[in-house]
Amino acid sequence: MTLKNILVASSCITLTIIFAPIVDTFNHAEALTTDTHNVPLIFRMLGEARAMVSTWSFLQADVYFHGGVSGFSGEHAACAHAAGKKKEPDMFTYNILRRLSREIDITDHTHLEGDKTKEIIPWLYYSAKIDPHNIDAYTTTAFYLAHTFGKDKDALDFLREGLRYNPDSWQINAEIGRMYFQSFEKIEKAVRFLSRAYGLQKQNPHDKFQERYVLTLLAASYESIGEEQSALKTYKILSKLFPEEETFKLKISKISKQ
Amino acid sequence: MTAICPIVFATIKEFIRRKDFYVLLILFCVLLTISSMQNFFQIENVSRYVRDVGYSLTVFFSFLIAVTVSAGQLPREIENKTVYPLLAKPISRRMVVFSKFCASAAVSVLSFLLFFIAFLAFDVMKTGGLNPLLFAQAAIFGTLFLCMVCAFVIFLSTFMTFAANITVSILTYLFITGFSDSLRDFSIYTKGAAAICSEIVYYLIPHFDFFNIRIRLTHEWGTLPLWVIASVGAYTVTYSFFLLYFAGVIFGRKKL
Repeated sequence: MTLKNILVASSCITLTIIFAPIVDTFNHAEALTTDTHNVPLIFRMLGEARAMVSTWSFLQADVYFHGGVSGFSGEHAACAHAAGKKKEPDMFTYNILRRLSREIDITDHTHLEGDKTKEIIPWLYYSAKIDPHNIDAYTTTAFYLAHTFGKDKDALDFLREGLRYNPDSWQINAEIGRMYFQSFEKIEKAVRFLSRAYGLQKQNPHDKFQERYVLTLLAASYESIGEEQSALKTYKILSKLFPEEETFKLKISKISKQ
Repeated sequence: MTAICPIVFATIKEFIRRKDFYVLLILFCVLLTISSMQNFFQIENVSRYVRDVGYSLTVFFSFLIAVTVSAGQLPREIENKTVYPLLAKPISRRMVVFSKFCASAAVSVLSFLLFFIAFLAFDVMKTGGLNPLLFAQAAIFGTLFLCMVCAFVIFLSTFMTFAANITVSILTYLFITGFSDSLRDFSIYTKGAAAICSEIVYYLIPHFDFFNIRIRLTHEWGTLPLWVIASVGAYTVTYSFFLLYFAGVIFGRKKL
């Protein structure tokens, strides 16, 4: 009886959520003007909780990558394989409930490798679909598609979809630029996206390593299409950011000599 | 035994007549069909998430049935006044409690097995092969889990209303599956009174987390040693025995 009531109540709530925006013309009109109006209905129903569910889905991908086990972020500083089981006091041997719990739990630290990495793709995919503003979901999915499965075209299409929702994301612009440079060898396009990424990056908080990531690709792209002066300018910025880095100094002297 | 069987069969008959299970089974099949049919960038044999979703739904739906069926057993008998002819049979009150436990456990395990068979069918279709021993362990753990849930809910039903019982049972389940690790770590790494209190709580709470082998099943971590299964079985029997014993004591003192 109660289960039936629960089902009836859930159906009513679901129908209300579906029909409320249609009945409420103001909300419906507003929904149409937002860039997420073409997100599947099932995900739109989550409302403001979408970002949270999307983040959960993204974290689920990380859990899957670790064979279903979570909480290894601290251990990544050390070697993954050396981590093994958590250190526990000796009392575990005599405490039957704790021992049982430890035996049932899985604490080994492993990573999915090769073809098995495909198991994380559904979570990354849903993470992006649920919240199209989850930029990490787009860039990470594209990374795995291109580098693990050799699906460069799919990766680029997915990034372009991400760009439609997040036109001002330097991360997506940079990834598209990187793909054009490394995978498709369309250097002019790469320069366009990477320049845009750098411009957007300057307007947003970022660290110098992120800046190096964009600028290194941009400088290399300039070099490839023979724009030495632009490349030189970019390497000088990089050298200023990382004065201890010899590679940039060598590049500057090499281009200057030409 | 002659007193228990008619009650068990009556509950199973009622379960077959009611539509709850069929609605959940249809929902289960629809959700698994949708999950199985998803295509992610034409990458083939992506199967772990289907197994994960399938097993989670199997356990959760069976848990819902176990809670709703068990919570209604004693209060309904008292409300409809059918408990009087039952006690006049004559059956002791403790035997009534035990019969109700057997009836709800039978219904819950039956529904779990049906969900599990449907889940197996989807899993075989999606992955093409499975580890029979691991799946057998999953079935055993699911059965033990539902028995313990039924004992727990029957115990609560001796002093709680139907609605309160369902709410407390679901919250307890969510709390234990979500925070049991934290409680364990807390009692290990603290000292003094806090450690003693958390240790007592750790021993008193029903460890629903012991039955959760979803990760092991989904990510093919291999089977559990036999002594672990035997220990979990012994834990279930002991814990359920105490719950039913106290439920019998409370029900025995209750004014009807």
